Amino acid sequence: MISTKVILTGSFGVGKTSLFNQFLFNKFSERYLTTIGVNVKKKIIKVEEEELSILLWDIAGEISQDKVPNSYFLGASGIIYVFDVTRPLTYKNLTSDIDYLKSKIPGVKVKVVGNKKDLITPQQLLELEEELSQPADIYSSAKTGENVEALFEILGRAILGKEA
Amino acid sequence: MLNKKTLAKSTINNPTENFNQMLLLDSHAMVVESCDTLFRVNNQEPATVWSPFIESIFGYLWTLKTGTPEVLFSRVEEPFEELQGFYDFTFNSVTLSGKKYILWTIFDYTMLYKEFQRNQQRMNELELQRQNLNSKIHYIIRKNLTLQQLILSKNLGKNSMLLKANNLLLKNIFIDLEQLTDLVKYKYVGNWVDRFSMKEVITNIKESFENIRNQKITIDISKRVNQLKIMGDQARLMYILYDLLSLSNQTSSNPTICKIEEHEAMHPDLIIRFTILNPCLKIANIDTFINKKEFSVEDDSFLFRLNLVGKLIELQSGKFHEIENLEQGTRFVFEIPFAIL
Repeated sequence: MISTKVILTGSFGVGKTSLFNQFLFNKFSERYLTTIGVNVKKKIIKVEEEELSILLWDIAGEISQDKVPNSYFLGASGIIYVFDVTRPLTYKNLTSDIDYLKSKIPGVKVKVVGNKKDLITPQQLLELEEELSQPADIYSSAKTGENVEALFEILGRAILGKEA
Repeated sequence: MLNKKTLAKSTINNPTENFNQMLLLDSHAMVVESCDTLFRVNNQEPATVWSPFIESIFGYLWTLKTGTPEVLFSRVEEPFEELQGFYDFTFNSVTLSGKKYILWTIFDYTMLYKEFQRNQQRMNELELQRQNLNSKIHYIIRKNLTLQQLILSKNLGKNSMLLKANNLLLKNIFIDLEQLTDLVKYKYVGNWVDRFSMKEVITNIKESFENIRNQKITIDISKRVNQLKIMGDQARLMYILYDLLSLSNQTSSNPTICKIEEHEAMHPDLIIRFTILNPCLKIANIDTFINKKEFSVEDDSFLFRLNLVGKLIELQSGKFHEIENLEQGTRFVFEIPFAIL
C-alpha cells in the first residue's frame, strides 16, 4: 500500500481542522479552535480499488504561505489549499500562494478547495468564481460533509497518476 | 544505555531546561536507546514509537547526513498517545560505533504553547470578526443595499430593524474604519490615496477614536433637545464624523470651519438631523458633487472627507438630506437614525 503525506494549508479560520475532523472522524464542531502548529493523523482511502494511506497534516493557518515553517513541507506529495468562500482575504493570495507551494515542493499535487459552501447561495458562488484569480478544484462544506470525501478522492487520483 | 547527560554533551550544544527526552532510532524507526525522561520505551520489546507523524517524515529523515543541521518541527500537537501536549521535535543524523541513527529530541512546551494558543485564539477571533464585517460592508456596497434591506434579507425582524442596524454597525464600524476607507478608496479613488494624505487622516481618526474608546462619553446634541443624550458608540460616531471633517482644517490649503451647527430631532427616538457649514467652500455644481465618483489631488480634501462621511452615514441608514449653497459657503445637512438612550 502506498503511503503519502498530505498537507492541509490556507489562512486561519477557513476550516482546515474541520475538514480534517470531518474526513477522519465524520465529526463537526461549530466551535472555532485555533491550530497553532501541526496535528498529524492517518486514514486509508480507496482510489479505483487501490488503497492509499493518507498521512494528513493539519497545520496552523497563515495569511501567506511563506510564513509556514519549511520543515512542514518536507516529503509531502499532496497539498490541499483551503480558502473560505465568505472571506475575500483568504483567497486574495491564491495564485501567489500556489506558485510558492509548487516552488517549495516540486512535483507536488495541489488541490484548491473553497470551504464553507453551506454559507453562500448558488448565485453568490457564481460571483465568487468570477472573483478568483484561478479556479478552485472543488467547493466543500466541512459542516455538512459535502464534497469532503470527494476532495480527498480527487487528490488521491492525482497522487496516484489516475487523473482523467 | 545512554543517558540524558551523555547524549546532551555529545550532540546538543545548549540543552535548555525544557529538554525532555532523546531517542535513538534505527533504520526501521525502532528505538535503540532512550533516556526515558518523558515516557518509557525501554521496557517494550521491540521498542517503537511509530506514529503517523514519524511515518510521514521518516523516509526523509533517513536521507539526512551526519553533520547536517538538525531539522526542527515546532508545535507538534499530540503526536501519539503517550504525548498529549505540544512539543518541539528536532531530528539529527548521528553515527555511533560506525552505525547510523536518527537522534530524536523532544522538548515539552505544552504550558507555553497552550498560553500561546489562547492568545492566538483571541487574535484570530477578532480578525475573523473584522473580516466578516468587511465582507458585509463589501456586500452592501457592491449590491447597493441599505443596511435595512440587508437585515430584512436575513429575516432578523422588522420591528427591531433600526435598533439592530445601529447595534450592528455602530458596534463594529470603528474596528473596521480602515477597511471601510479601503473600500471607498478602491471604489472611488484607486491609487490616488498613495499620493495623498488619506493614510494620515485615517491614522488620526483611529487615534482619536482610541483615545475615547474606554471613556464614557456623552455629547449634548443640541439645546433644543438637550434632554436627549447619545452615548457610547453613537457618541463615538458623531465624534468621528466631526473629526473627519474638522481634520480638513489642518490639511486643506483653504482652511475651513466645520461645525455641527444644529441638531434637530425630527423624530426624537429615531432620526437626528445635523448640519455642517463650510463658509469657505462654494460648490459650483451641486449635482456634480453629489454624483462625484472620482477624486483627484486637485480636489479639496474636504470634499473627499465629506464624501466619506456621507458613506459612513449611509451605512448607518442615514442620508444626505440636502446641500445648499449660501452667500458665504455651503451647508450640508445629514439625517441619521439613532436609537436614543
